Amino acid sequence: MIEVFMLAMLVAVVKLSSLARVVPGPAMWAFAALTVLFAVLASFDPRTLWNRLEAGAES
Amino acid sequence: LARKADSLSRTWALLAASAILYVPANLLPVMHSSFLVGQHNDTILSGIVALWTTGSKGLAVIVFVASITVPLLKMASLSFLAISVGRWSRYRPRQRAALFRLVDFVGRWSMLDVFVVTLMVGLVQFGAFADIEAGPGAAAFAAVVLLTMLAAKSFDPRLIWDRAFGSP
Repeated sequence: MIEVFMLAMLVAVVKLSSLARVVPGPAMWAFAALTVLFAVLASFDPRTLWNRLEAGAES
Repeated sequence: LARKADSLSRTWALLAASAILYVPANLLPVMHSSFLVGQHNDTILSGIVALWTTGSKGLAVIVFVASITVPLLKMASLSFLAISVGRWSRYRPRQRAALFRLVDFVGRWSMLDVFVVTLMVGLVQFGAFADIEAGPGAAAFAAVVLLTMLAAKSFDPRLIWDRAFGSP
């Protein structure tokens, strides 16, 4: 859900920029980086745990 | 693992509720903005049009897909899955299972507009100069998104396989 919120922030900033001057603060960039890192984290497949466990049991 | 109890009835009930709420979600304003110079109401669609006309065409397309296309296709896909399972269909179980996984994955993107309204309401609080409030459409829209997500959660995809290879 965090990537959806990131995009919502982008849309809100664009909408606001037509009302007032909007300057993205450092937290905006930190949040963007967090979103990317979470996407990388989410690509972890728990099956690798079992694969490693079985590979370890054989050797 | 046990099959989900009353999967089909629950899915149908949640789908019906979301289809009913879909009407006010799109017709009622989701955002009410008041400024010194005047005030106006925004529905889901007029918000997308505003994004498009102010030059953010890419964002407008993303919001259109997330807020209009995804809920519609989601309700249609879940209805199709529920009907086919209800009729003990043997039609392409693998593709239907894939369709279910797609519906389940893509559903949360519809929360986009709810978050946008939330952020705008929180950020624009300048009293008499500018003030943005959530409209009644926002609650209805959030309910549609939540209900379709619950409908997808209550649908048991194993029924596709049970019934494609079984008999009533």
